[in-house]
Amino acid sequence: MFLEILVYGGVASAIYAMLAIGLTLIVGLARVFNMAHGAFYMLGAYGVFSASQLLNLPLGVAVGLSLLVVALIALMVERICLRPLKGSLEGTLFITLILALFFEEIIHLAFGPAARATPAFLSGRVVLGGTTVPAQRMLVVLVSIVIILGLWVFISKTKIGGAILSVSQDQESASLMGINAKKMIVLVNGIAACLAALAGILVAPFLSSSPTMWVMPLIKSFTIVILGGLGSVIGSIMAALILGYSETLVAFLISPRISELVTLIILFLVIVLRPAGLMGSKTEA
Amino acid sequence: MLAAIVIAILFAIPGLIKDPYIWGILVLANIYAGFGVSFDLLFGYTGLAVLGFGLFVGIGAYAAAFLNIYLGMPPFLTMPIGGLIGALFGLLIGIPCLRLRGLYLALASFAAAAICEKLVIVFNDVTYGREGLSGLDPISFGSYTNYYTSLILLMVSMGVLLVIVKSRIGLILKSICDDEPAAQAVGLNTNRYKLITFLISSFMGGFWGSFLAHYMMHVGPGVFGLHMAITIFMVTIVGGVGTIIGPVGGAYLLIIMNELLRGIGEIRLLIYAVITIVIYLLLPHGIVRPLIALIMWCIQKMMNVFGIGHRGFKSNGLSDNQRSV
Repeated sequence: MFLEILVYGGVASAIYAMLAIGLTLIVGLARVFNMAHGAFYMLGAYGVFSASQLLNLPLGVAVGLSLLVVALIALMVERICLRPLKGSLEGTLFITLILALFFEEIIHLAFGPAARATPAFLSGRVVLGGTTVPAQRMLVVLVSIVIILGLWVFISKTKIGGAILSVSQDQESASLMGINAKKMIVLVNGIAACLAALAGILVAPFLSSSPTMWVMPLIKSFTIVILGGLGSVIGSIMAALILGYSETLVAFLISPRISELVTLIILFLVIVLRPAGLMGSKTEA
Repeated sequence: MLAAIVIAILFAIPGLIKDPYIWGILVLANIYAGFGVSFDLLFGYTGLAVLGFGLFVGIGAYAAAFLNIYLGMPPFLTMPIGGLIGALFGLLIGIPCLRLRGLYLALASFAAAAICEKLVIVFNDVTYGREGLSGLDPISFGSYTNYYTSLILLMVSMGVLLVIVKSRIGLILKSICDDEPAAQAVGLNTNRYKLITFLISSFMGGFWGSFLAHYMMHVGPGVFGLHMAITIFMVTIVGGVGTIIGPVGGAYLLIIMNELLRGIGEIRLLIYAVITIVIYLLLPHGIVRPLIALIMWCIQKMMNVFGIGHRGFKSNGLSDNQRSV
């Protein structure tokens, strides 16, 4: 029981971390609250489903293709909707939410309301101590750790990463130093969408895909971003662990039916009691 | 003047179109218009982006369902009580959310609505979970009376809201929307006014929620959900944010479009979503105001052609409308 909670909580945290890190980066960089973030997760899951099941492409190609498609969609969203709305917080919030509904309707139209299942990328089970875990779930944890480490190296060691950090600290000064802030925002938007899509792709085999699957991941990623402190990557990882493990604990010890309530209650309490989150110092937004 | 003509047309519809089916559709338009105008007071006037507006609708709807099914109360009692319970939740949510704005207010109110939705699903022995409660008493037994009830209630809601927003309170709400610290600096207790807004808006949301429950004779957890909230603010954005009249136009457009596109099938909300985004990007004040301006312009042109004086028309039509926004 203890081991199971440890493993399944880890799997949930890994998914949440991937969902939230991109979002917290773009929030820190451009103060854009993109409610279509959950839709990218859904599009990733449906992308890999249609590429691998309907077009019978090999798995690697299917994953690459769906990431590419989601990245392109994210760039279009940025260009058509987010950029003209710059500065209008409520406008961005509501328009991106309507966009998410738009994607839901498109998926609904293309695949119908029923849930679709993608076969596991890795079959078999992994024996961990006294418990066996499906290999697919361990894959999620592994990929998530690799991606997060890679992202950390990218941001802290490369020139572009430095540029991103400087834009998030002070956009104007960064622009004066010759950094193209707009390009950085576009880049991070793309990275955020790809991370969400990757999370969607990885969970597609064990959480079947349905047109409304974007709602809870969206709320969870915002919960994590706020709990962690807007723009703080470390805070987001901590918050993802808190959320993942508290949900798993409730699911195992009380009932899986109320595990989603945990997120919502955490979200409400954090906003009302400590809007700055764990690592944040700013209370704006 | 124009408003009078529109109201006259709305009241004459059952006489002009003798099709109870159409009346039924228009009742739905009136209900969504009711949600839209209540939401507009919160969002359009006071700038409170309450994403969880479905909370008030859902609380009102479930309150009416419980009172009607378990206690046997008639609709004319359950609807005001539903509104009052909605207002109670408006206070419960409004007080902790007073200092929140923007994303935080949106997410906190959404969380509250979603918590209620999940609770309704969890306590399925009284609420029948996802299935929802069926068999509420209808508003009335004739589609004719249904239509007039909804229309009169909508007129009353709009009237009350228009009186509020044209009074001193409306100005204060606008000032909170534009610059809250400045409003506080001139000595206004902005929290009190925000709470009043929450109270009025949630009462109306709950009231129309109960109306919806009785009209559909069914209530399910979906009323709390994100889709209800998105539909309500799409109606508001399309019609015109901060106009009170606007959401009515938006609701009628949504429902009429829904009907016209019924043949095409499931792409209805898709098209409405696209329309909403395009309207928001191109006409941020919605369609109703430009539409009124266009009609007034046409009338004026026609008056000029026929050589009739146009001053009276201009002053009590267009300018009256501009004063309200």
